[in-house]
Amino acid sequence: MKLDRMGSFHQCRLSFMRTLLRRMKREAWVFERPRFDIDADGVGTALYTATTPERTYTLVAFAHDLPDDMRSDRVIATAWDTTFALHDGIPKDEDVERLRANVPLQEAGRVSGSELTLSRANRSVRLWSKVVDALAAGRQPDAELIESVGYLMRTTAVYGSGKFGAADRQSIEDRPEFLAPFQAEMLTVFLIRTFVMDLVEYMAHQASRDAVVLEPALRRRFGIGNSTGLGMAPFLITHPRLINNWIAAREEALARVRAVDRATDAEIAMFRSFVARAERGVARWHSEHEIQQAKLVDLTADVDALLARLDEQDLTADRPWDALVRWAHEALSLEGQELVVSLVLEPYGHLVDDLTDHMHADESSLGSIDGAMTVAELRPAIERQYDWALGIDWTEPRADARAWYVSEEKLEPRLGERHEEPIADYEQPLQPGRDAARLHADLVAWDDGATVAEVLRAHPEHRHTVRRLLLVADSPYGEIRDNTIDAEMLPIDLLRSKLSFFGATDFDPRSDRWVRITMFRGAPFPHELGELDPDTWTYPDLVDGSAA
Amino acid sequence: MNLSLSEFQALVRKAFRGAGYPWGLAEDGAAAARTLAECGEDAGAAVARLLDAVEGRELAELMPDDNWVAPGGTACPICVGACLRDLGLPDVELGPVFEPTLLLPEAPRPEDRHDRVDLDPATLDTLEGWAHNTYAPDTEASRIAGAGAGLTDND
Repeated sequence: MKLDRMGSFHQCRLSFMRTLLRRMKREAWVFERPRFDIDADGVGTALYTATTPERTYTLVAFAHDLPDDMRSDRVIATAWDTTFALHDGIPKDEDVERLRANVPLQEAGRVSGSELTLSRANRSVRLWSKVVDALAAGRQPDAELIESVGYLMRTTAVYGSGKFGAADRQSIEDRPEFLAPFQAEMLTVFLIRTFVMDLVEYMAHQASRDAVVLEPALRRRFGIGNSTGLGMAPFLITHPRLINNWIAAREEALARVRAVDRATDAEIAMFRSFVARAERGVARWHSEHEIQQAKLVDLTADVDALLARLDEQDLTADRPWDALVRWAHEALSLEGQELVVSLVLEPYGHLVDDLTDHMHADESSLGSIDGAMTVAELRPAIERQYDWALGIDWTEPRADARAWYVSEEKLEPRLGERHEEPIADYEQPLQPGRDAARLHADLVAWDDGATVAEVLRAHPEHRHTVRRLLLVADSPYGEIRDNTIDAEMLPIDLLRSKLSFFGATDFDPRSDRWVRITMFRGAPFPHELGELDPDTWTYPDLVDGSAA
Repeated sequence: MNLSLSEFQALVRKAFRGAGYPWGLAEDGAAAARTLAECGEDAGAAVARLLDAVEGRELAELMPDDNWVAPGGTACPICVGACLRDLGLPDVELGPVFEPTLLLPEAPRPEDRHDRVDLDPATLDTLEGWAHNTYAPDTEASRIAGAGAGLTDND
C-alpha cells in the first residue's frame, strides 16, 4: 500500500461510523437526556445516555464560556468551548463532580477506568452566532452557509484506549458493541453532535421566546467537525496488525463485489443513485489547500468520466463491477479509483458488512522473534518486504530529510527537518524503510549460518526492525510501502487514510500535515434512527430536504 | 496515581528508551513490566530500580554472553529475557541479574489479572524523568512548523 493511494481513500460501508449506526438501529438502542443544566450564557452540564440491550453509556458534557482569543484547534490549547467524557454506565453525582474537576483540563486532568473516552470541541465562530441569531429571529439559517461549513463545533481530539487514565481497550473489547475499532470514540462523537445541536437551539431560545428549532433535514446537514494534526499520523505505522486488517477487509469486500456474476435491477439502480449523489458531494467538497484543490479537479473529471462510462457500459452484463473497477483503474485518478471502490460496495451490504467483525486486532502483545532463523533466511525476507526501501539511496539528504519526534512542551508528535534541527537524537521508530535498509546493510558482515539471536545480541538496535519484519511478513497490508521520512512525504495522506476508515467526509487539508474533516454529516440523530436508514446518509441527497 | 495498563506500558517504554535502551529492547521491557503489573506486582518500582542500577553502563556490559553471564558482572533482565525468548525459553543456568522479578513474565501467567496499575509518586517521578529524555526541547520554529498549524485557529 502506497501513501498516495492511502491519501485518496473515501469512507465506505465498512467505515466505523456506519458500523456503529447499523448496530444502534439493529439493536434499537435507547437514547435519553437525563440532565441538561445549561445557563443563559451557555455554561453548564448535560448528560446523554445510550442504552444497548446490555449496558448504558453516558456522555458527560461540560459547556464553558470561552473567550474568543483562547480558542485554538491545536493540541497545545488549554481551554475549550465544551469538554466531554464517555462514562461506562450511568454516572452518580460524585462521578459527575469528579469529572468536572478533571475533564475541562483535558490532558492535564485524569479520568478513571470507568471512562472510555475524553474529548473536547470548539465552536465554529463562522457559523455558531449566525445559526443562533437566525433561529432566535424565527427563521431557518442559510442552507448554503451550512453547506459551506458543515458543522457547529469541531472536536480537536477524542482520546480513548487507556489515555489519561481511561479504560484500556482490552478491558472492553469483549463487548460486542466495541469489537470493531474506535466504536467508543465514534459513539462519543455521535452523542457530542446531538448535544451541540440541542445547545444551539437552546441558546436561540434563551435569546428569544419566539425562537424556532431547526428543520429536521437541515439539522442533519450539520456534522461534527474535526481538526486532526500529526498526533494521529504515527498510529498507522505503530499498529501494523490493525491497519492490515482494515485494508484486508476492504480488499475482501471489493473482491466479493467484483465476483458478483449478475447485478439485480435494484442493485444497479442503487449504484446509479449513489453515483449521482456522489457527484453532488464532490461538487460541494471545498478545500482551501492547493494539493486537495488539484485532486478535486481530477475527481470532478473522474465523476464525469464515470457518468459517461455508465451510459456505455451494460451493468446487466456478466461481472459488471469487475469490469467497472478495471476500467476505473485505467481511466481515473487515484481519488476517482478509490471513490469507485467505495461506491460499488454500497448496494452489497449483504455481501460485505460482516467484514466489519474482522477489522480489530490485538496490538498489545509484542510479535515474537524466531531467534533460530538464520541470516540466510532473514536477508531475503527483508528483500521481499522492503525491496522499495533497499532501492533508496539513503545517503541522499532528501531521502531522510525528516525525523519524527515528540516535543518536550506538549508531548505531541512532530515532524522536523533532520538536517536543519537538532532532533535526530530524539527520533521515534517511525521509518521502517530506512531501518530495514540499515539492518540489511549490517547483515553483510554476518555469515549465512549465523542466527537472528546472535545478530540481535550484537545489534540490539535492530531488534525493533526484526520484530516488525517478522510481523508484517504475515500481514500483507501491515506496512506502508513508502518512505515516511522523505522530503516530499505528505503526512495528510496518513491522516486521510485513517479518517476515511472512521467514516469522515469533506477532507480539507490546511497544510501538508493538518486536515479538517466532518463526521456524521447527514446522519440521523438518535431520535430519528427508528425511521431513517443508518447507511445512506454519507452522500448528499439529490433533492435538498428530502429524507435520507 | 492509577494508570491504565496501556498508559503504564507506554510510560515504561519511554523510560527504557530515555535510559539509553534501543527501541526494540524498550518494547520488551515495557511488555515485561506490563505483564508483571497484570500479575499484581509493583513492576513500576522494579523498572525504576533497574534503571537506576544500570545508569551510565553500556548495554554491551549488561547483555548476557554464551554462558548467560554479563561482561559487567550483572546482567539486565530485559536483555536476558529477550535472549531467552528468542531461543524459545531454553532451560539454562543464569548468572547474576538485576531486578530478577522482571524475568518473571517469561514464566506462565496467572488467570486472575489486574487491569490497572498504581504507581507511588516517587516511582512515577523516576519513570517520567527517564521518559523525559525522549522529548526534543522545543523551539518556536518547531512549535509552528513541526505540528503544521499556526498558533491560532479561530474561525
